[in-house]
Amino acid sequence: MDKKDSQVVDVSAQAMNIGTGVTGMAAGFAVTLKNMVRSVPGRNTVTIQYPEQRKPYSRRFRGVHALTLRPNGQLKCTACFLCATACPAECITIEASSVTDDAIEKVASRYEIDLSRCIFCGFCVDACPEEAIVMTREYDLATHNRVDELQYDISALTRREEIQAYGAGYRPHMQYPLVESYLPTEISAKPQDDID
Amino acid sequence: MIRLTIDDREITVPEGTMVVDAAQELGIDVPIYCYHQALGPLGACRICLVQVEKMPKLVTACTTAVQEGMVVHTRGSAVDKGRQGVLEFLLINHPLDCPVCDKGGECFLQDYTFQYGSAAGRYDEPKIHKLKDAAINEFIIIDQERCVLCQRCVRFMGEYVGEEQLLLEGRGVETVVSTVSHQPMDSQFSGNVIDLCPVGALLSIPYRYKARPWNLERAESVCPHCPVACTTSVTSREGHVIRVEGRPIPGHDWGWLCDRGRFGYDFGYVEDRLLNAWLDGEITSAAESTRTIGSWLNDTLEQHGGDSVAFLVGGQQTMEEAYQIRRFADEVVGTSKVAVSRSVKGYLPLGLNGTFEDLDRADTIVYLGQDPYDAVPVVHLKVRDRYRDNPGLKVIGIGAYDLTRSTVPGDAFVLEPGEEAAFLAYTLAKVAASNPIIARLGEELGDFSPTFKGAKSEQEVETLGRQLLESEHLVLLWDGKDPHMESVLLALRGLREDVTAVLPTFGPANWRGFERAGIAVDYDRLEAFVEEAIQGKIHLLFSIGADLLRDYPDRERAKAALAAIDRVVSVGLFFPEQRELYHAVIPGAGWSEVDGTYTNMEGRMQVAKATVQPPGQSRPVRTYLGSWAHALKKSFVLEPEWDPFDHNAGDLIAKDALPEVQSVPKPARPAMKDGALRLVGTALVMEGGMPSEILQPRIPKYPGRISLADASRLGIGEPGGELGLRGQQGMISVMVAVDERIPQGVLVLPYGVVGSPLNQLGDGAVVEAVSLEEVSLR
Ligand code: SF4
Ligand code: SF4
Ligand code: SF4
Ligand code: SF4
Ligand code: FES
Repeated sequence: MDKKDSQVVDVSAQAMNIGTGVTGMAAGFAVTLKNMVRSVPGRNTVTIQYPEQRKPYSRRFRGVHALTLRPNGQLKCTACFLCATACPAECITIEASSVTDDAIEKVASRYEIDLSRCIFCGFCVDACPEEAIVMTREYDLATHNRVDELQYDISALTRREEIQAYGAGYRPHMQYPLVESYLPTEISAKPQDDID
Repeated sequence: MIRLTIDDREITVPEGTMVVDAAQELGIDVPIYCYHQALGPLGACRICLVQVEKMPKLVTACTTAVQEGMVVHTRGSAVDKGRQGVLEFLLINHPLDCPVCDKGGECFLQDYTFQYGSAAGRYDEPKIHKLKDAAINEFIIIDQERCVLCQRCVRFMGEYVGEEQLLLEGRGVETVVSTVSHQPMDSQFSGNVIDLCPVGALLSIPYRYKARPWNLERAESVCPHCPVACTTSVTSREGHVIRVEGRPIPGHDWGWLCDRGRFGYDFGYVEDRLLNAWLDGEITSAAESTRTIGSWLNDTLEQHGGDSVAFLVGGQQTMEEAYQIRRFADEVVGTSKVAVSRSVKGYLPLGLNGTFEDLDRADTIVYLGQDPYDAVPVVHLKVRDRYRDNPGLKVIGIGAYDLTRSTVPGDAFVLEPGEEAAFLAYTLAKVAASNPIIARLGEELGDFSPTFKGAKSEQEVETLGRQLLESEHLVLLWDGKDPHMESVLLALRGLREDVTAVLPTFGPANWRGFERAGIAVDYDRLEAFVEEAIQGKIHLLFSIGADLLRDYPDRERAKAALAAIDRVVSVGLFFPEQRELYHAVIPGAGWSEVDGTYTNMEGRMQVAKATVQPPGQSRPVRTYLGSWAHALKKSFVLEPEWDPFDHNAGDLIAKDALPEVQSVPKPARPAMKDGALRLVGTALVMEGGMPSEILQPRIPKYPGRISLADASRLGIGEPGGELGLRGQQGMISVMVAVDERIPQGVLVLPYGVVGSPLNQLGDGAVVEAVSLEEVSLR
């Protein structure tokens, strides 16, 4: 739109219009009132008793990463370094090695994500040509020691119970099911209200 | 000269130039796989298609020579379509496994497919599978599925190096690159095929899966392993050197490396690398060692004065470090005793020094005492390059064994050990006796006459003499063993009208650079230092990057010298031999850890950049010099106020005047008992170099070499065996194998082999074979 075409509004004149002010305020309070009524005990409460109770998050939630596995339990990751290259926080460390298995040439012998640096942008997941890394819906990461407890290595990224419990989160091709994976795409744990 | 138009731009190039090179000169990039300037045109891959006006079809730019008035289009719909088709064919059976391919990111198949290829292939049949990840030697694996059959590797080994070790096997779509008789490649130059392969078919094993090309750092450097100082590019990742590649210099150097240079880069990471300071056999802190050495220096200077302190330098460090050491000796300590540790006695005046360009023009090349393949491998490749250009090239090997090999055939004069200089003086006297220079040269020869192993007639000697005098461009490669050879070379230079160029094949690698930095490298200095040490005139020695016991020709004397010095301090990458002779050993930094300049055997200065930090407590020499000066409460400015390139036009060191010709004495032939052997020392880059875990499988287990006759007499079979040797000065045991180029009665042993110190018995010594028990009883 051209600048001269746009309508010029005198804001101060609008502000003097008491009618607009009152309706605006009333609309705002109406929301407050509605939610107040909704939260009367016994109805559908927004506030929950965390951590005894938890809310499920969107299937696109970008929580802690998980490395996916082949049916035989080997990492899918081929150590192509694309995730580490894409990572803006430079928090992924990979070392590669070869395996004796003829069908597979290269695997990651070390794969570490420094979650204290990770910004959960999900670029690594976007970059991966193998869907070897996905994000989960796990979000509660508080620890007492960020130096040791937030360095997630291969076993932490594959074998923790939490991964199973929270289920898969963001990955670029969500329209397709996650192939050959131990990760549940649908959540079983404590479902309340899936706000998709 | 021919004028043509490429993409609407005119260019004039010499006749015979290929269109692809003409385009290159204009900065127009034509894709290539099979073409390489060193190998010449082949036309196997068809990726270089271009359109030439008035030609009905697309032509390959690499096989089409320029013609007057040609009009070439390197882009356009026809060309792009052609290239797209070629790529589609190349990818039909390609595994498309870039994510796991070490070449991914620097692969020409990837690049051109991005540039010209189509996004999808139309071929739906199953792919043909071939061998993947098969090692073709200790350092290289082949993935035949990724190969585009450009034949660069095959042609490089067969045509360029002349060692046929790779070939194409099978026909049609089943063609693969393989090794001859499926035996591992053992050429000294095998690693070059990794650089040559445009795709990820030939890959380096030590570099395998270490990094991806986009997350590593590259630094321009030079190879530190021998005096050729080939130009390299050093790859590092996370502060670790992980690869060395050749660095071609257009118009000057192809960037070939030998396997020692390409794979021997891990000497900084081997287990023996010094990472801590040691004082009297105990690990100590860097600060403590600095304090202690500083106080030793202080005490020695107070009690005995500056001249009681000596410096022995190894000749491997950079020129800048050499300069700093010399200044420290001059200004802080006040001593003139700075010697370079050497194993041969010869010296070559700079005025005689030739360059590699001389090899490119030579019509006669003479090897004096040393087969360049062993000591300075890439020089051999340069000679071979010349031989390919000029098959009439005359190669003459003069030494104690046959120095020529089949890749560059030549004429071998096999003499008694150590008689090369006398033989040449004798030969020259045969053809130009009347000349005063020759007369002077031969004054002390007396009745010397050479004895040849393998018949040589007087006639042949005369022909040799004439060749030496009359060839148009003579290049001599000299091993530096016999100091009298210097006069012969000077005389040749004085007599000949045409170019006479000498290339010194002896080390230490940067000796010319040390000379330029003001440290005299002549052997007499070293000899004088050893003498003074034995007489107790030296009270404190700084041995920097040197190992007297390993290098000095007489081990017992070296031991006596070190033992006579009150305090010996060693700075280096490794422990010196017999470390109990040293009072302090502190860890130094070396190649790839310090920036600096190296001068090669041509006298050419080349800069090598640092890529990584020195590991552990190791520090560059300059750090130590600064802290010792501090301990003396003297100031020692470490700012680089000296630039080796100053007062020099270009990168070659300026030449100086030549000394006078001296006469060559008659060589003394030691009496040989029946069955005795003469020891001949030689420099071998593989056997005698720095430790390397990567190279370990390639380093021959049997570094010594003897003739078949001697081997069968001594009961040494295939592949080799251990032999006890007794000389006048002691006994050693050596691992020897048969080499048919060695004449009977000679045992060739490389310098610097751990456990078989040649200098225990002496180069040229007469030795007897004894039983191994006798040696171990010693
Ligand atoms: S991008 Fe995927 S396959 Fe590549 S290294 Fe990362 S996780 Fe592994
Ligand atoms: S050779 Fe090149 S195109 Fe082929 S897999 Fe390797 S990187 Fe990819
Ligand atoms: S292995 Fe490499 S260099 Fe050799 S033919 Fe195949 S693509 Fe060419
Ligand atoms: S020839 Fe010498 S300088 Fe060149 S790569 Fe080999 S060892 Fe290094
Ligand atoms: S580069 Fe021209 S055909 Fe291969």
